[in-house]
This record gives sequence, C-alpha cells and structure tokens, in this order.
Amino acid sequence: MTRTVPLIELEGVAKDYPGPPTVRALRDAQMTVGKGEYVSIVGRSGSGKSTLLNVVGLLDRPTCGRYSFAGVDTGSLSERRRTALRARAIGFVFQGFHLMPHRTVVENVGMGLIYQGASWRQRRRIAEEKLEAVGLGSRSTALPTMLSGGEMQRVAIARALACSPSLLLCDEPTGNLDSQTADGILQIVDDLVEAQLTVLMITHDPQVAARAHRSVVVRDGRLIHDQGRG
Amino acid sequence: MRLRYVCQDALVSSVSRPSKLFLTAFGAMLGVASLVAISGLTTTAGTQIIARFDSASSTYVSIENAGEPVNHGDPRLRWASGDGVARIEGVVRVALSARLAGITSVVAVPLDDPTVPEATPPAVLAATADLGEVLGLRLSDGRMFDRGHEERGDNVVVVGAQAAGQLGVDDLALQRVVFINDVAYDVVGIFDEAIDNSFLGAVIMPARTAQTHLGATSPDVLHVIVRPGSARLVAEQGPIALAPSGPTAFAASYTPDPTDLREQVGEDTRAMFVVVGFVSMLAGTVGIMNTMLLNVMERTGEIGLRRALGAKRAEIVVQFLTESAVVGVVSGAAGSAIGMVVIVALAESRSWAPVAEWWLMPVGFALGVASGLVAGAFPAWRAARIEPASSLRAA
Ligand SMILES: Nc1ncnc2c1ncn2[C@@H]1O[C@H](COP(=O)(O)OP(=O)(O)OP(=O)(O)O)[C@@H](O)[C@H]1O
Ligand SMILES: [Mg+2]
Repeated sequence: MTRTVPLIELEGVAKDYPGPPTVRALRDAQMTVGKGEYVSIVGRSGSGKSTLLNVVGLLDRPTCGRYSFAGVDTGSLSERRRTALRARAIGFVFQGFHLMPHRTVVENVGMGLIYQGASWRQRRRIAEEKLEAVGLGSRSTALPTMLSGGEMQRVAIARALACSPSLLLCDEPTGNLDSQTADGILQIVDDLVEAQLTVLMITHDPQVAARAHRSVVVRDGRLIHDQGRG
Repeated sequence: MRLRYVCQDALVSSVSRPSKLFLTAFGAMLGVASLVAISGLTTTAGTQIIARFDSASSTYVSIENAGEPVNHGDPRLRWASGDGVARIEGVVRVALSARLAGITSVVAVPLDDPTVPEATPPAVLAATADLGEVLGLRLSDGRMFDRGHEERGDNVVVVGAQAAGQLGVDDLALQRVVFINDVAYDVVGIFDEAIDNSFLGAVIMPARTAQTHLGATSPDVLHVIVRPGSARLVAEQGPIALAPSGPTAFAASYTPDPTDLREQVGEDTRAMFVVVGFVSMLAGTVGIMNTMLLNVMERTGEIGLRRALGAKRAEIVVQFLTESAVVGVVSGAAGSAIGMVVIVALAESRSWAPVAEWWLMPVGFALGVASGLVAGAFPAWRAARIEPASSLRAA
C-alpha cells in the first residue's frame, strides 16, 4: 500500500471564539480525510460542527494546531494565498442557499468564477455545464424565486462545483428540504463521490449520515471517529 | 480583467432591480433637479430683470429746468427745445411735457350743482405728440393724438386708465368727451401702460391746445429716449445743446448703467442657490447612503459567499461603489434633465426666454455621480468588513 498525501490533515487543532466569555468551540481535533472520501459530521447543536467546517474550508484560522490541505501547511499561507486556494479548491453548500434572488440561475452559478478572472462567456459555459450535471439544464435563465427548495439547493451545488473543487463542504444541505427532495440532493452528492470528489457533510439526520463512508461525531468541540464502513 | 468583471457584475446587479434603483436615486435626483432648476431660473430671472431694466430705465433721460429763473431771459425749456437735443448722437426720440396749473375741474358730465363737492381733479399735462412713444404709452382704446392735432390745436385728449376710471370714460363707444375748466375735449384714446405708472392717473392734451385754452406757455420736462449705453452722454450733452452758454440752467437725470445691479442680483441669488442646492444634495446623499446600508445588510449572505468564493475585500468595495455610482449616474442624468424641463416650463409659463448656462447639465450630472460615490463609501466599507464565516451560518 502506497501512502499518498491526505487531502485534509488536522493535528491538535483548536478554535476559540474571543468572548467574553471565550468559547472553545473546537479542541485538540485530529482528523485525516483522504482524496475521494465521503465523511459525515454529526453532533448536537452547538457542538462545533460548523466551526470545524469553517476551519477546514479556510474560512477561519484555527487558534492553534496544524492544518494541512493537500500537503500544504495552511498556517503559513498569507491571507491572499488562503483566499486563492479556497476559491480554487473548495466548494461550499449551506442550509440556506444564499442565492441572489434578482439574478438568473446561470449568473448565480457563475458568480464565483468572476474572482477567477473568467469572462461572462466562459462563466456562462461552465455554469450551464454544471447545471446540466445537477439536472437543471433547462432552467438557466430562470430567477431563483421561481424555483422550488430542492431546485434552489441544486443551483447552490452547481455553484459550488463551478470552480471544479477537490473538496465539497456541505453544512446541512438537506435541513430545509422534505425527505424525498433531500434524497434527490443526496443522490447528486453520491454521484459526485463516485466521480472521486471528497465530501464533508454536516447533518442531523442519521439516515443521511449513513450514506457516507464514515462518520465523525463532534461532542463539545472534540472529534470522535467512527469506524469506516467502506 | 478581474476588476472589470467585478464592475460589470455590479452593473448588472444594479439594473436587475430597476424600481429599487430609481427609488434609491430619487432623493439625490430631486437634489440635482432643484440645483439645476434654481441655478437656471436664477439666470433666467436675472436676464429678465436686466431686460426690463434695459427697456425701461437705462434708455431714458429726462431734462428739467434747474430752478426758478433769476433774471429775465435766463434759458428755460421751450416747446421748440427738442430739436437741438434730437441731433445729439444716441438720441432716438424726444418729447416735451408740461404739468398744467390752474385746473379747477375735470369732469365727464358738466355739473352745475354747487352742493356736490368737487373731487381733486386728475393731473392735466400738455405734451408734444411724440410723448406717446417716448413714455411707452400703450393705448387700450382709441389712439394717441398726432402731429396734426397738435398743429391745429384741436380739443383732444388721451386719458390714463386710472384717470379714465375716475372720470367714468372707460368706454369710448359710450362716452368720449371730458370738460376741463368747462371746455369740452374729445377723448381720442385711453392708455393702460406707461414707463412710469404715475402717468396712468393723468389727462394729456397737445401743447398748442393747452396754450390756447389753459395758458401753458412753457414745458417743464424734456423726455429723451436714447440708445442703450448712451444715457450718460446724452445727459451731459443735452443741457449744452439747450443752452451752450449756460447749461447749468438744466438738470438731466438718468438711471445708471445696470451692470452693477446685474452683478448684485447675481451675487444674491447665487448665494441662495448654493445654500438650497447644498441642503437638497445633502438630503439626497444621506438617502442613498441609508438605502445602500440596508442593501448591504440585506445581502450579508451574498457578500459572505462572494468572499468565500474568492472575492478580496477590495473587490467587495469596488462592487458596492460601482452600484452606488450607478445610482449616482441615474440621479445625475434624470435630475439634470428634470431640472432643465422645470426651467423651460416655468420660463414658458411666464413667457420669459429660458436662459441656462451650458455647464448646468454636465455639472448636475457630475454632482449626482459624486453624491452616489460619497454616499456609497461607508456602506462599501461596511460590506468589505463582513466575514464569510459568520455571515454564512445564518440560514
Ligand atoms: N462567532 C462566534 N462567536 C462566539 N461564539 C461562537 C461563534 N460561532 C459559534 N460560536 C459558539 O461555538 C460553539 C459551536 O458553534 P457551531 O456553530 O460550530 O455549532 P454547530 O455544531 O454547527 O451547531 P448547529 O448544529 O446548531 O449548527 C457554539 O457554542 C456557538 O455558540
Ligand atoms: Mg452549524
């Protein structure tokens, strides 16, 4: 067995929110996620799941510890390099879809590519391709307000995929959806994992968690690792 | 490149909500409109005042006897005095008039009832026929007496509208005779406008007629219409032309050149315009800033997401500055256009000629854009401070 560099490697990571009072939302976190892995993150409300995701997604810096992304020690990166790395390699999907209500579906999907220096033509081409991938190829000129919740979340996934990320971070993407609609979203995620995308998925739903290769439980800021299934 | 796409995207973002864009621009648009309108109306009204002034006063010179004669044979105004003055360079027309003394009664119907108290009679003037044009008399009925009447010494008069009302001769079709000191005169015309409204209360007859019946031997005012800019010269030369050896026997008066007044009017109105414009622009700018701040708060999620997807703080600033610049462009363009329409409409309603400086439109436009940028600075700074991690947690 050859040892390849893991995509995510957390060593003794902690995250404090300066108070008062100071909240230690994450403590001594160890986690390794390899390329193509599908990991669910579960835990009670307030346990620190989103905090973990923000650190992994380079939206927040850990207070202490070491975080390597694809072998790069992120602690040594300037703010600018971190932003560039995040924009290029990491996609986000949230419970709230955060779509711009007055912009068309293609414009929403292509929005992040502006910051990669892509022209309108290129943005539209990529956006339409990603919309096709989530089964919304025909709705590209619609406004988000005309879409159902499931469709809006699919637009958000297409937007996350627009930069061709190597890591997809999902914070309760099905939290606002009924189970049938949620299933459609999870199917899309399964397909992405099939295509070797690495996925971290926060969820409250054990059934959703069960679809992942393995689960990480967060309890009071500590990570408890389940056995892998696959 | 990237920055260009950020600006383009911000532009599309602004115009994707046209009604909101217009509402945001509304306050500053009114500010620009009022600025442009006030400035233009100031100029228009100023020009109008000057025009009236030019037509009324600066082309009019009057020459009177300087006092009572000391010696017999001292120079005095005579009915023939006009000829010499008329030859001075710059003189357009001259006329002479005398206010008649010894008028005891002026009535339309002769009354012999001694119990009726007699009203103060209107002033009666003797004048040369050119007085009508010199004083700018506008005949509302009939006509001015002419040279023929004057040479023959006909018993004719023209009556000012005010005097006509007092005498009851408003309508020449019904009543066209007045009695002055019990002598009948034909009323040939009624005038309702003159260079000086005090003339509207007077009755005017030809000089020769007055000499025949009322003993008017000499005029007391020589009225001169001059070309614009010649008033001072004529006021100096007039007395000399009348009496080369003793010009001090005459006093000429004219209103000084209106240039000083023009500047005065300009200064006053400009100060007012600066204050009003400043206040309305300030109100408009604060309005844009408020709406833009609300806009930023509303779009916290979008801003966080843009940051998460790689937008730098500077690019967020550029985006929101561009959006408020678009608001500024709309308020500047619409505001200065509305201001121009107001100038033309108001001037039209008063039948003034609309006058506006050429720079009003571009300056109004630039002010709108500037107010958009100024108003957008603080909201853009606030937007750039939004942290992606905290803004995205809310569902
Ligand atoms: N910006 C912040 N400042 C201070 N405290 C914070 C901040 N963000 C989170 N916390 C605290 O950190 C702890 C972990 O929060 P986190 O959002 O990671 O929980 P979570 O597991 O995602 O909860 P949920 O399931 O409700 O989303 C909580 O106690 C929360 O109150
Ligand atoms: Mg959370």
